[in-house]
Amino acid sequence: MSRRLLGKVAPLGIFVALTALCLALKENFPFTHYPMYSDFSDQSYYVWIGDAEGEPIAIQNLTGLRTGRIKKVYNNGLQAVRAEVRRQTGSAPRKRDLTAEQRRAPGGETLAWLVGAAPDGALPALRAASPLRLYQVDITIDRGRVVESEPLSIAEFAVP
Amino acid sequence: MNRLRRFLAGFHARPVAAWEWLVMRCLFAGVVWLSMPRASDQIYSSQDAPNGIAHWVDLTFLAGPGVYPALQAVVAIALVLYAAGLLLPAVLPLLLVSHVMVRTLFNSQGWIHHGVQMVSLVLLAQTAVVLTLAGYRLLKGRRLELRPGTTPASYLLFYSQMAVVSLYVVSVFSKVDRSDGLWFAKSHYVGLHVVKAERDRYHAALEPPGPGDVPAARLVLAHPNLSRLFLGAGVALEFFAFLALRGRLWALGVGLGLIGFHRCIAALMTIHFHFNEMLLAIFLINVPYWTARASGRLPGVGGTAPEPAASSA
Repeated sequence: MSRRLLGKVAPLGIFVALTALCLALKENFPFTHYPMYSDFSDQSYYVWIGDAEGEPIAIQNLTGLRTGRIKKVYNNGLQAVRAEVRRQTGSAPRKRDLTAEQRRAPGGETLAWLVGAAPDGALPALRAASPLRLYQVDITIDRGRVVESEPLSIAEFAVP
Repeated sequence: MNRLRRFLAGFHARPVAAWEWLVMRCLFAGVVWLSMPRASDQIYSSQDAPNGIAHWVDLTFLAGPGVYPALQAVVAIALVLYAAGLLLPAVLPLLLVSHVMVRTLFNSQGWIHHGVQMVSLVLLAQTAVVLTLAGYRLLKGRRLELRPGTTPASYLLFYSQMAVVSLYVVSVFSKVDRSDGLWFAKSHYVGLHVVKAERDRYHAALEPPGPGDVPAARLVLAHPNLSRLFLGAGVALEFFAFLALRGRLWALGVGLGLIGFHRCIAALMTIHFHFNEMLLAIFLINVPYWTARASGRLPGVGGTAPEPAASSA
């Protein structure tokens, strides 16, 4: 049986089991089901970080943290808000329907996380730019063309 | 029916030359080292969004004074032993646990990074193979009889390849599942995500060109069927990645195709999977083997020659 296990029966069976395991466990390191870009949508958004004047900061150059990663943290916060609204009202609003007030707390938490995750060497520059601002730009497809909204200031955070 | 049976029977470990596996071990040791955080990286002292084993284990001890440098030293020694092929039943579990712990802590910060799972999964696959072989020997008092002509290295390579390709196949099922089967119908929306990726690139470093027209996105949105064809080819490549397990030539083809696929994604959306590409190059493409084969220095290795008698591990 052991020889068959490694030699004949096992290979495709183990392959199927490993694939099924990754699908079942989803995002539990080291397993993943690679969810990114698995559902294309005709609307999305991106974020960027601005200084006190609202001018963009080259945040990756400064902190090593990509805007995509910052967006993931902010997005998790929005999901938590949706879950809370669902708990209170029985139905969760779409992310795009969240109010500015509902976005503010996740935005502030994201900026706090950013400052906490930035290397010590980046803190003087972040303090000089303080209060940091998180901007969101909605992006949609309208009649075959990409349309971007004006940047929306979500939250600000004074760097201690 | 017989053809199907023959086809299915073709998925198995194959002979691997000792030098070839040595090269792979050295290269993979390099990848493992590169995929660990650098000494200058911040080791997080909290795990606010636990992922994987962080649900049960507090991994923040890694941020303690001197802990990560010590772990790095242990991993460095283990990688040297691994590259030398020594003490694998002890070294591989150590490397697996170290890699999973550190990377799980990084993925427990509220965002999931998808760049290093494949490295850990290959470590997991190799650990499972060496422990199976060692466990059998321990329990049965004799070595496990392997397929004719194969060695433990054959199985380590085969299951490493399996770990690599399984993640590509998984991603296909995710696309079908998460899009309710509409992935192809909506795939031309990738144009929007191309613009988003371009804006992310700009805001990361504020390097020109600044925010403006993105020709690739315009092209994709103007020709949705063309983009469906292009993206569909990529998905087909991912789905059929398992064919790499049928032999060296299949592995070469799949490996080259998937690296081309990654290069296209990188060019279009500035999303890089460097470690995935490295593992494809090491375990599927296997340049040293094909170079040696082309120069006629490797007669017989590769499964085309008659297989020698059974070996044991």
